[in-house]
Amino acid sequence: MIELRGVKKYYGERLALDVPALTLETGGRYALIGPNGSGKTTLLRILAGTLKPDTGTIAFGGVKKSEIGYMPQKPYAFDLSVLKNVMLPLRSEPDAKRKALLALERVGLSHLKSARGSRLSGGEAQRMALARLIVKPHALLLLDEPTASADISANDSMERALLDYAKETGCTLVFSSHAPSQALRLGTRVVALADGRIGETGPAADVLKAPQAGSTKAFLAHWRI
Amino acid sequence: MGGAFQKAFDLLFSGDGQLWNIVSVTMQMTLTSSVVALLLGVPLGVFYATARFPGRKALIVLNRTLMGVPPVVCGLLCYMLFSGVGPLRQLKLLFTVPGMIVAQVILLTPIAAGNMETYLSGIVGEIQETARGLRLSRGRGFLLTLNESKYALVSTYLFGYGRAMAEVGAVSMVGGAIAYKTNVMTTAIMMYTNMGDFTLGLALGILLLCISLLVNITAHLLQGRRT
Amino acid sequence: MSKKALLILLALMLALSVFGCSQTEETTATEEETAAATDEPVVIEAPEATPFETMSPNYADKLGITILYEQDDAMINNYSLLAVNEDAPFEDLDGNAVADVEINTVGAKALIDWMLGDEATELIGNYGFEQYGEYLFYNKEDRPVSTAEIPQATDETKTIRLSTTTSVNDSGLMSYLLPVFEDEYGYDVEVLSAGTGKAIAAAKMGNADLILVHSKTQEEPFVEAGFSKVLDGYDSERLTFMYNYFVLVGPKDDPAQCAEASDVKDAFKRIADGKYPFVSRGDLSGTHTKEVSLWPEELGITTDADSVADYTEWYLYSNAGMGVCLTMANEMDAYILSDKATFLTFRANGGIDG
Repeated sequence: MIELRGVKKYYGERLALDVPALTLETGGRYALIGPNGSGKTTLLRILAGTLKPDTGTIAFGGVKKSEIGYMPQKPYAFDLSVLKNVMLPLRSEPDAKRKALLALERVGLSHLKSARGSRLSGGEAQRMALARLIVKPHALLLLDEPTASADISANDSMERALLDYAKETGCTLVFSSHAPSQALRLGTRVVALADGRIGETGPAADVLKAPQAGSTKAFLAHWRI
Repeated sequence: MGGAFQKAFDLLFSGDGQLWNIVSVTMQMTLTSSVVALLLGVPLGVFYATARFPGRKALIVLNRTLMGVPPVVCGLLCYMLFSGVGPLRQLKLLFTVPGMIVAQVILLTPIAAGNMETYLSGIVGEIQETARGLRLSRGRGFLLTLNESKYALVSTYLFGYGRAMAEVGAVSMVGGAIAYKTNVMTTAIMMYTNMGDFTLGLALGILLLCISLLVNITAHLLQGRRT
Repeated sequence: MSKKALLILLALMLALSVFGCSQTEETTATEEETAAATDEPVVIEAPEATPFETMSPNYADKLGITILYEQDDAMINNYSLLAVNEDAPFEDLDGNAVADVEINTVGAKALIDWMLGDEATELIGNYGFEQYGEYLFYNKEDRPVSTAEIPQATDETKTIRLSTTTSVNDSGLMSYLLPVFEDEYGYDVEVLSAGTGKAIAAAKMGNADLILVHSKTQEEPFVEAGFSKVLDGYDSERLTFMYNYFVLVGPKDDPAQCAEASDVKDAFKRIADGKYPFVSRGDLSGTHTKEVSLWPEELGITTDADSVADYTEWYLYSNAGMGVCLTMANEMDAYILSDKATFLTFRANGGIDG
């Protein structure tokens, strides 16, 4: 169980994130929704450790730093083969190649295993980035808009791969999504953010189909679930 | 001006021993110094771009300042260090081609490093965030960034090479422009200009540009069909 | 572009460098030996020297300036050889004494002995006639003479560093003389040329084995400070062995009428009185030092820039080499004091191609 207490982050004058309390249950799949600038990326970064909050604490409940995986909004595709890219987190494990090929298959990128990472399209790069993460077990997996650049079929393979991975490893999954429908498909619980604050949280279906907070309602008004 | 072109053409095919020595010394010096500066400057530039430590920004500012050192100042410094009474006289670098290479490397390395740092500063943020997310070690991150800098290598090299070819202040002081030994194209141009033979100076200049063109074309081809 | 074409291009560049290495001084040496061996002075239109050095036709007619006054005793320029003393009080940049400065005393003596020997004397006396129809240097009658046996070069003594002035180097005398010496005795003379001040400073910093300069006023302090020494077989540190003349060069129409002057000082007076444009070296070189000594005393002109502050409308304190100053004078139709050799070279090479 991961607990955040009194976490605040300022960008200059602006309060980008203000989370008095948030609990993430082990094995849960949390979808962060909200408009741009609502603090989704900030929260993910703080959880990943690439950003330090100005105040507050995070208790990781036994989750080690090395067990946290994070995919930023624009994952970098290195100028290596796709296969080598995916093998990066595995270092010199004996089984690395096999595991990488498996991960690539799951996201539907096997045919591009020898392609240059720098030559991939946006959607392909994101799939590769996902493969790069699911190639290893994690206790906490953080993803910032993982399917933003994907087309529909890619979106499907990624969601399937992610769901399978989460169920197999039992990891805690926290991901932000620009599409509430995805939140419904992938997440068990939803955290709706607005202006850096949590508007409401709850089971995915409840929040998405019957939002309580005004900000959530406003956000979801644009979408048809 | 036409006379200068004619003269350049005649010079090229005259087979004159002195001219070929000048060209040869120039090529040895510029190719060596630009390559060494690249080997030193690129990792340094990657270091500037990726490392996180207090004083990093100050170091980058220092490097930028060193990029603007007047070559003649560098030459003067080296001259004093390598002189018969200088602290580094045992190295016997004064009035030699290796000495000129050293002076040029001092000038060019900050330039290569600065070039690299500027190129990488655009992408290093993304690289680092991704690398951290994958729990890659700092060393790994450095090597990966080094690998990413490949694309700027050729242009960084050419920039340094161009400076090496055009440089005259440092090499004339450290090398002494000794005939058949440390006379390079730029010092030869200076010498003939000072003697009043502007046409010959211009002809040599044209020759120098042609050689630069050759090197640039080669480098462009080396870059391959990469977009 | 295929990899093959790439390799060819690279090979081309490599060949360029390697080919350059294989060419040696042999070409120039042979040509100059033939020139030196000729007895009769022959006036030749096209110069015989290497293609590299003289590829332009004679531009004498295109030049706006010419020699107006010469051969005055006050315009004599004396050249001296000084060997650097290996036990001189060398100091490093902080003023501390430096003990182990390497000076090739054997090599320096060998070169000096040769320059003061018969062979060099004859060569010096002949230099310039074939190319320009004039003698550029004269041997002093009271010069020190050497009949010493000159040792062959050894690995240790092979490299001789000769620090001299740009005027000497630009006259071409060194590239005319030295190959003869080098071929006969196996030495390798490295000629460093700079302005007089820097040439002497280089020796003080241990970067030269001997100097060849032409400025008594700067040579004497050098000797007094202990940087030179008296070699075996000679009486003094300063070995003055050859001379040439400075020439007063000016516009062909000679508005100051210097050609009619009674002596060179009179010529200078005429220039000053008429405030005709004059280009000064302004770089404390031998030429500069000589020039300031020729002006009327009441003008108070010295090598110091401040001393000519009042005369800037006609006196140009330029701080540049001889060739550049001659070009300036040519452009401005100004008078200028030059050493003859450089002027003749300048004239033969024509300055800017029209």
